[in-house]
Amino acid sequence: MLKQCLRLFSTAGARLGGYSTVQPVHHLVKIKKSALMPKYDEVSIPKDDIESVGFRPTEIEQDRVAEHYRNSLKSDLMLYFYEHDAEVVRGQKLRDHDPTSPYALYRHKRKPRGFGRPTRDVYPIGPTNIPELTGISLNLYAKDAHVYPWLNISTSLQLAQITNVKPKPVKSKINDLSWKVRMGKRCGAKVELTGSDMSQFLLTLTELVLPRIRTFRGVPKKSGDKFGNISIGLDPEDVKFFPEIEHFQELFPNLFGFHITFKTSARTDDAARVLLSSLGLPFENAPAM
Amino acid sequence: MLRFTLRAPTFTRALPLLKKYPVSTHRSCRTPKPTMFHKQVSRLYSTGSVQLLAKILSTLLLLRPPVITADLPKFESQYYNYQKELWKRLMWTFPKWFYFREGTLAEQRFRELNKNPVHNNPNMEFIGGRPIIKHQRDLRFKQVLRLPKPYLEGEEGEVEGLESDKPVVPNSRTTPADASNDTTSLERKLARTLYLVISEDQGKLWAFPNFSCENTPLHKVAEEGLYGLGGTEINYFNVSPTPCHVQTSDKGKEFFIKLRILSGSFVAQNKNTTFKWLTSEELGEHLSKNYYEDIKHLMSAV
Amino acid sequence: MKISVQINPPSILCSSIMFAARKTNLAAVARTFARGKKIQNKKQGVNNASTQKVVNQLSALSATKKQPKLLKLCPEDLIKHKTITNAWNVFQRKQRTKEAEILAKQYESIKDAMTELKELSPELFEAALKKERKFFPLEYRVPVDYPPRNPWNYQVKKL
Repeated sequence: MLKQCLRLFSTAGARLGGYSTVQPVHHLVKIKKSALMPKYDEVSIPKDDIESVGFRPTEIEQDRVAEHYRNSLKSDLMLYFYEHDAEVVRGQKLRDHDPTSPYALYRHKRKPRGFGRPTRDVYPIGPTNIPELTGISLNLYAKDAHVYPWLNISTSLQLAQITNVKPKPVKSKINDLSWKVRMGKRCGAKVELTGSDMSQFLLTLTELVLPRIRTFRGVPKKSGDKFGNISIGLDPEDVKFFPEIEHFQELFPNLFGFHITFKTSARTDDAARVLLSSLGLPFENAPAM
Repeated sequence: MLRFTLRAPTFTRALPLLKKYPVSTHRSCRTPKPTMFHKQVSRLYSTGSVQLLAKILSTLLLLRPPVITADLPKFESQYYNYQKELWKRLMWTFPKWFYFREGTLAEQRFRELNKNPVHNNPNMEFIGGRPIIKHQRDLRFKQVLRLPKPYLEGEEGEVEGLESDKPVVPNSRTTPADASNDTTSLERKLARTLYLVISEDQGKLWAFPNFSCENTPLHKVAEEGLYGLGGTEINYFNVSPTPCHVQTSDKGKEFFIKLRILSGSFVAQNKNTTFKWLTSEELGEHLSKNYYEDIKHLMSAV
Repeated sequence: MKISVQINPPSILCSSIMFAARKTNLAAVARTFARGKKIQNKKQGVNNASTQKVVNQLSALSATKKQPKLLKLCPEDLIKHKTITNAWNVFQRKQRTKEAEILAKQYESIKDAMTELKELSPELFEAALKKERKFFPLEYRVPVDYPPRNPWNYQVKKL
């Protein structure tokens, strides 16, 4: 109530809508007219349409991870996560300031208690929100690439070789001349995997690579970002166990370690760990069955 | 009739109804949503004899998960094939020069397997359009790659010759147990989920294993019951202590506990017990029709 | 649910019939290099072995001369493709709704069972809710395309 009253007298409030209220009204939304040229029409075709320039078939073979998840794991996970009369666990949200103070009117909201970042609500797991692996992202940071820029070619090629997806460049965000880090300079590569590429990579990792790493004791128990995404790191020595690299070792003289993040739709790390264990990833602190 | 009682759930009105639909068999009566009413009734009788009649049973739903991928229906396999061909057509040219360096033995074998496309001869006329050759690929068509392998390849099922120069052949997706239709074998129907059913009267009546339970947790009863039925040489995974279904039968309330057998052998410990591993469709033939209809949704589609 | 659709792949996959009417690629014939000679390898110092390796790597990664010709479907092929895609989408949608229904039923089953158990025996209900923290075992594997030599492992050995 107080806020609305104040707004009537405030000149700043009127500007928030994004357009001028002085007649005649001029909208401030800018339109790039050059993008409306007819030669760009084909860009607007969605990429899953065969007439699009970027068309690429995605469902090219039976996806055995997805099939296993649909046929067996989904109902098992639902039973596993069932809680009777469970309620929504509200996450920490941004807090309002003292409503009576006029000075706090347009201030940013206060940080939430505890963790310092807003967290999501955790809903009880039912038939519609069973945790699911939504993607895997590989992130390769090569620190030497600041000094030897040609290493960026090797990093991209290594990820492309392993995942069969064209990588995107990673650029440094800060300037630190003592580390020879320059803002905007390339220093690695990253790949986002979904669908059949993701399944293929997951199978290679769990069936061929991880069992052969002697030092691997399972996914570390501390791994996880509190939002249901679990990460592991691979060393350059581990990377050579990928069959795609192993059989062409002379073509990849420089190998780089990288981080693998498993993105899940689980709201908590514990749920994400259970999901990943069901997909064949071993965990460090796995309790005895 | 039922609706009236729902509005006025008094003791006197519920009594004649209770005779008509006794609580212990309320699942078998096919009213749309009888639970509300019966909950109220059972609460009225919460310390009465009705409560005691409902015996708690732990029913074992033992699954053998699929070992191999599902058999694809014709439509799906054709669709995948079509997409694969499109993918080959749209794929970038394979960088042969990178993986098979010139002058190596591997490159020679690659060249033997992959013939070059027709050269774009300027003196020739091409009816189907001129070939566009880049890196020994005609960019107009799909790319067919045959990579040299360090072993011989063969078709599924053929095994001949010496051990050393035998081609690498994938194992057959059907097993001897399928050929002889041995329903007691864990190796049958590898692509399907199998369920354990037992019979105590030499195969007249088939049912999931049932164990009565008195104050022991349901899943413990099911696990111990499994060892008692099939021996201790079983490695199983108990998905959850939570029951996944409740079914009212003449024996009492059956609470379904889901276990998955992962390895080991199921050997019947009792002489009179016969058992079978069945797919969901075969279950329909072995269980009574009403019972199967009630539990059908628990079965995996594959 | 049975779908019996015979897929006849469009002719792009079978042969080059649809390109039969195309003229010669004039742009390719008339191409000239306005900037003069291509840069020689020797001048660039690419004869260095390690540099050559990186150049090779770049050539494997880049799109230069590797992209196939764009697909240009004739109207008939386009209709065929759209029919196939539509059929696939309908099939997928049906399958997805069916799976969702079954999952919802299973959830109701669990809920019913727990509600009844709560009424019948509160002790057993408590025990059924007490979850031990555990992971899925590694033996519960993703199915493979072809079975191993011994399809079933009769040895009990917990990992």
